[in-house]
Amino acid sequence: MLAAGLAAYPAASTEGLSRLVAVGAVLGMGLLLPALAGAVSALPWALAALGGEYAALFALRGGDVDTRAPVYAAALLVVAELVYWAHDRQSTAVPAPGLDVRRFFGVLLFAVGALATGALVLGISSISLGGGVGLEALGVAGAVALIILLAALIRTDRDEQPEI
Amino acid sequence: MTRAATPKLGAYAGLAALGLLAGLVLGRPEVVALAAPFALVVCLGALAARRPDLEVAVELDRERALEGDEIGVRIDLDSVRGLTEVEVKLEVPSGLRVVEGENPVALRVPPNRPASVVLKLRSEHWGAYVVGEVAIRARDVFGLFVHEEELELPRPLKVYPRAETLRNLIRPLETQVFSGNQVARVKGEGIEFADLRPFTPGDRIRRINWRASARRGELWVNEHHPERNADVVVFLDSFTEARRGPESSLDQSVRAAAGLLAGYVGLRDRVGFVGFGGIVRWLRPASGMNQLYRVVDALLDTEITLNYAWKGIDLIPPGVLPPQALVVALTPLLDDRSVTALLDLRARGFDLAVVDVSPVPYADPGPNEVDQLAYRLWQLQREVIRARYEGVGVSIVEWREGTPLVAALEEVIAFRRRVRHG
Repeated sequence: MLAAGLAAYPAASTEGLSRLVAVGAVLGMGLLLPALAGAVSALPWALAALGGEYAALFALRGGDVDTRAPVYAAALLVVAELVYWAHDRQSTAVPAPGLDVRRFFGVLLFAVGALATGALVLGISSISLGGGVGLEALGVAGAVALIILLAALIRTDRDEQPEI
Repeated sequence: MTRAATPKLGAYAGLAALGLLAGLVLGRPEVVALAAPFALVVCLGALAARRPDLEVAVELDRERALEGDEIGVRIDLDSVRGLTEVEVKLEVPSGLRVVEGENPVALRVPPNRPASVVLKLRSEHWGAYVVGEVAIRARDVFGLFVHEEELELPRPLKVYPRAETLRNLIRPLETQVFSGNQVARVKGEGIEFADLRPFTPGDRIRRINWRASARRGELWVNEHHPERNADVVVFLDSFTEARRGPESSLDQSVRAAAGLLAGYVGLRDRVGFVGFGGIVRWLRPASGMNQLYRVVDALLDTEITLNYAWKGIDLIPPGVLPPQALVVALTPLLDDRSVTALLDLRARGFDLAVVDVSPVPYADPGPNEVDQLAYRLWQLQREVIRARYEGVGVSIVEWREGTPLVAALEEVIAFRRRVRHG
């Protein structure tokens, strides 16, 4: 439902349903369903489609900064966390009493953190620092460095995975 | 512990990178705001990822049990830093079953406060088990990394067969020299009345039978049978078995052997064991509870080992089968080697009783006429084998699954009585 809300929001915000936004919404929801059914590898694509739909809204519409973006970001993160939670519970291990309650509060904490982070990003973006190629290049370098860092983190020393 | 990234790490990292790049390309802070939480989770998760300091211990509430008993297992998990979520799975050996508690289970281990997983296992089949193979999977607080380990914390568990209590056992034809509960055929000092004979100088006054002496006009004394012990060897044929589902003729034999051994030890007899199969094993006869435990432990290791080499009774050392010992054989009569070995034992003068642990109930007659004909021929062939034993004076009885062993033993006892009294 939350994901459907996320898909509907950009569509509702465009005057006349733009084809690009509609494609994003359908794709996002279409990929989210298999993710919920257990194909968790479809989730990043579903989230990317929903995020793309949201980004397409601004590409089409332009205009002022959307102050609801942190809420959208928090909702997107919550959707992701809930799908991974459901996926974890598909394993045969039965959760001990209280474990799911703790995780629920953990997801809430994530949502609050995401809200704060999004707001912080929007706040920083409102500060005028000028612009130019240098700043753009710094941003690109930062993004590339982040990708390299994450790739290094993903590399593991795993040999085999026991069946639980 | 091996560390592995969960799919979440890749997904979040990819989304963060994609969002940040899209934000740069589009020049929109909203897109960066979407990506920032994912990037933050990844960065915090990477910083917080540490090898879990988990200590695991497995305890069984006992090391010995009977078939059908419940055994408590406790898995203790301890961590100084604590763990958000740990999945614990105890590998339960075949023959044991979890009847209480969850396995696998996911739980939290608080810092410096041990958490426990308590399970109850039911022993469904006799055997020597090793419990303690535990698979652990710990997730970090952000769920980005998972640490896995398979621990070997072996705890031995012996499950003894639940043997039938036997009130009447096959009595050996010959006894040994030590005192016991078996009435010897010879005459001597004892309680059981044997005969009367005329008084001879040296006889004790208390042995005079005054009533008989008064009738005959001279002194007559009572003679008695002494109570002696006997040597009993249980011969278990483990060349092959007939099986249907979890039950087999070997299981039936092992349970019967345990009952017989316990019964004879209770009568203060010396008991021995010969496991005659792909692997030939033996225990020399001895008496007492220690011997019972030794023999039952040997029984637990009994299994079918395929071997096509011809094996005769010569393989068994002479001391294992003492002269005048009663040999109680438990065999499904499926392998020529054991059939021949038992006939060989009889030819060497051993007091032999054979319990034919019938494989017939384990076999399906088959759907068509040819199968059913083969089934009938097979049963006839088994009757021929039994007739061969009876022909050489061996008491043999067919014992089918579901009937009490004591009924089969009664048949053997009756047969032996008939043979003895002509």
